[in-house]
Amino acid sequence: MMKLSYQQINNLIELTIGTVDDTLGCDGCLELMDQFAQAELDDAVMPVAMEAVRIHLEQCKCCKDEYEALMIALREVQ
Amino acid sequence: MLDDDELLRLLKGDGASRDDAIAQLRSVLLRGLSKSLNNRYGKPFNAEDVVQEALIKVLDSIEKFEGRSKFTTWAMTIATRIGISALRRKYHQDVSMEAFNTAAGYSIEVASTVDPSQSNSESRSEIFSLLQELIDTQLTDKQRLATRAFLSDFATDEIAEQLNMNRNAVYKLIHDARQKLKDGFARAGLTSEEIFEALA
Repeated sequence: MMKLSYQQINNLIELTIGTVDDTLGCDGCLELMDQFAQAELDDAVMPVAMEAVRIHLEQCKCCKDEYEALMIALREVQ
Repeated sequence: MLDDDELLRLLKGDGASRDDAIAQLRSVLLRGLSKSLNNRYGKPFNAEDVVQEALIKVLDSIEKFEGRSKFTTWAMTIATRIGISALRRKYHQDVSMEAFNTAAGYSIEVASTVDPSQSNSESRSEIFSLLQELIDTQLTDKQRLATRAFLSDFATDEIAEQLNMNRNAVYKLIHDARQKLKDGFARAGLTSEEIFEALA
């Protein structure tokens, strides 16, 4: 038995309410992450295929965290 | 400083010019990871500890580079993945593993006390009760286990390691659990606005 704190309950409810279909998953996102990052760095129009990456990043804290770290690193070395 | 195309060309070659290219790539990865990962999760991080592993992985995979992004973007993506995984392991060294303890089962208890004097206390209690019911009746044991680890701040890849699964499968477990809970709220006739209002 694990008791959730009030904060954890709120987090779970927020995650639940914000859930949308995600066809990509982490594997697909990781496969396309460099391309997605490049488009953002170049301020280019995002290809339609990249919309699935955006949706996954909104759904997956783990990939989003990784993507944010990547963008910080890339901006540092640009 | 070599441009991206020249860097890639030299890395695929040999001799002293390749060594120079490796040194440049190493320097770029080190600078990027030092900036992005130090003190992420509130812990110091020495990028030197992972840059060699990242460099080896990039060089081993170089034939797989398809040119969909700049070469350094691709290389930094690989390095970031390695670096952040190492950092997460370090971050969670001292964290309680209670979420993974199944000796007492896989349950999740939604037991937060609701102060009856607060506004919305009745609707908040109803939402918590419904959430408890949905967790108990709609989620599988594995979904409950992955969800409680996630709520305990474990990243998906760390949960995957603990459960001997891959990251994608764990993500899907948690995502499907969220979808089941969302569907349950919808079946009960609760809108997102009503739920947020009750929790405010």
